[in-house]
Amino acid sequence: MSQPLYYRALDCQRVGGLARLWPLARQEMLLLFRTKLGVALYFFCMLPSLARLVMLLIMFGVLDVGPPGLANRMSRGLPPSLNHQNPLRAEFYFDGALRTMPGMIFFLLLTSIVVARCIARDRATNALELYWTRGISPWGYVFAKWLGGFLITSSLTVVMPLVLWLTACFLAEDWTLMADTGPQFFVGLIAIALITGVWTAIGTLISAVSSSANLAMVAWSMLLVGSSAIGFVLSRALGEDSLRSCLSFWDAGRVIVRSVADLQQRGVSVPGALMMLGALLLSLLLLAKKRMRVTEALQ
Amino acid sequence: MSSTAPLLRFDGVSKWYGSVAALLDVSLDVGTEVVGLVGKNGVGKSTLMKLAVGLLSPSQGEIEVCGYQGGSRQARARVGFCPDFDRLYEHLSGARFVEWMLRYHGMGGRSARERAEEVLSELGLAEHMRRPIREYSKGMRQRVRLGQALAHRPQLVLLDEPMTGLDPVARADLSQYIRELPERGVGVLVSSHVLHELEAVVDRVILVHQGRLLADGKIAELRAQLPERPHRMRLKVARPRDMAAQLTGWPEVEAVAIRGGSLEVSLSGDRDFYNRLTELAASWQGGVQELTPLDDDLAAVFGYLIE
Repeated sequence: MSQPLYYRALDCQRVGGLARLWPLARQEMLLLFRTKLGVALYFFCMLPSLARLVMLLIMFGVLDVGPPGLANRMSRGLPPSLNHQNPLRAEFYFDGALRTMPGMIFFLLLTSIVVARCIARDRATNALELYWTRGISPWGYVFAKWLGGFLITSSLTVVMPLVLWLTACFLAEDWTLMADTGPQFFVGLIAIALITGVWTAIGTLISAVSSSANLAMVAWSMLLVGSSAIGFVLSRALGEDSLRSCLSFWDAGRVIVRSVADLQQRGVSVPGALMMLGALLLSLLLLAKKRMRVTEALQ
Repeated sequence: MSSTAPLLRFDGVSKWYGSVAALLDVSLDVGTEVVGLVGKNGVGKSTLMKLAVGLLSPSQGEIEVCGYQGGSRQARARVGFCPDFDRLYEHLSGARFVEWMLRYHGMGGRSARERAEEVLSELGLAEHMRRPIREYSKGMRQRVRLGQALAHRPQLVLLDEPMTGLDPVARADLSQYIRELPERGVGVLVSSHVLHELEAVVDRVILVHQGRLLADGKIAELRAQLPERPHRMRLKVARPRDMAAQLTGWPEVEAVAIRGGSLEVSLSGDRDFYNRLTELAASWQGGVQELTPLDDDLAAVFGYLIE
């Protein structure tokens, strides 16, 4: 190919892979922090973790509130059924993020604004054209969007439990708490990080197949809350508890994390939960594959 | 003006959306020049642009960009695309937006930052490039869009309706900038349905109608290919009624009308008309003040062709 002599290509340092996609992921991750309302919403979503932090401070005697001896009674007198309220147990630190109340509600609030809208918003404004002409592949773009959503969501589901656990270890009188809870906590933390990745992937793929940001938000909310509600009702009606984790992807994730972390649970089906998550993810991947083809992605 | 090899080549390209044909058997070349892509809304201009930039694949035919297959990674790296809609991120500054677009091209952070500032300064945005885009005027936003299309130094730039919404000063500035691009070795394909905007900018035009390429060439050449169409002109003279009486007797003159103190003359041929008119004007009391062709412009040629 001959070129005019006066044309010169741009001489510059080139990067590839993640560095190329990072601005896109970063933009998604920091979406909430562009407005005061977004910042307020983010901190609102951290409320359950902040509440646990206050509990920790009371239990370790840093905050002196309530009747005398409350801290001792709270930490020593809890029955096994309230292990998730006991800072001497590993599940105290990440159970809040996994429970339907309040974990799912705050998760839903955050992800419906950040994750569920991410691709549908760009499709509706035709911004996808700009990305495709940059040579970013549709799957590279989806990955960057997922990464941004995952990082901000995992700041609630992964980073906050880690902060709580480190705070507890620091406040404890000796290293017993760290030694007793550490192995189980880290296994659980890795599992919760993986499940957060799967949950945000489901949200991102719903966004990829939706034609508008609002539709994606509604579909995501309905799938998350609806499947959980249907699972709850049917499991109660049919007297089959394991049905819940087979119908709700939120409950499926919770069951898998608790199983990996070797936490006590009954009436659950781990294979059913794995199959449920796998089937949902695969279906959405196939739908998104069609929708994210360059020609299909444009409107 | 053109380089030795075309920067963009369509060879028998057709594009169907289901059973609807958006483009039919289009063949064209774009070299190091400014080429206007003209057509009404919905005739296939945007489809042609998207095919050229690799956003769509042809149903039939071949597309080559700078010697590479259209839509390939190498081709995309050599094309700059300025879309017709405002798809800028409002919270970002102009410099940051262009920098990010460069980083998506695979450019390192520092290189991208420096190049973004360089190209926006060239486009006259040096003072405002750090302000958020939401505070920009339409002209400034258009410069940012153009900046992101040019920043990676493409060989071929595709501009989709770049003048839309600009004030006359911004239009003139942008036209001047586009005109200078071929001097740097950059080919430009610019689409518009506002024909007079293109006239001052392009070296030649490609007329598209109902998915087909209707004509390709310089505006004057295209007009010359329509001898059966009467040429029309406006003549501003003293005593227009007397002049009209004189002209109606000439064999080339098909019709004369008086409008607002001027004459509008339709000619079936102009071989002897201008010689005669020059002689008449020399002896005409009060003289001929103005002679303006009315249908040598792009709009008239386009109108004739689509009829």
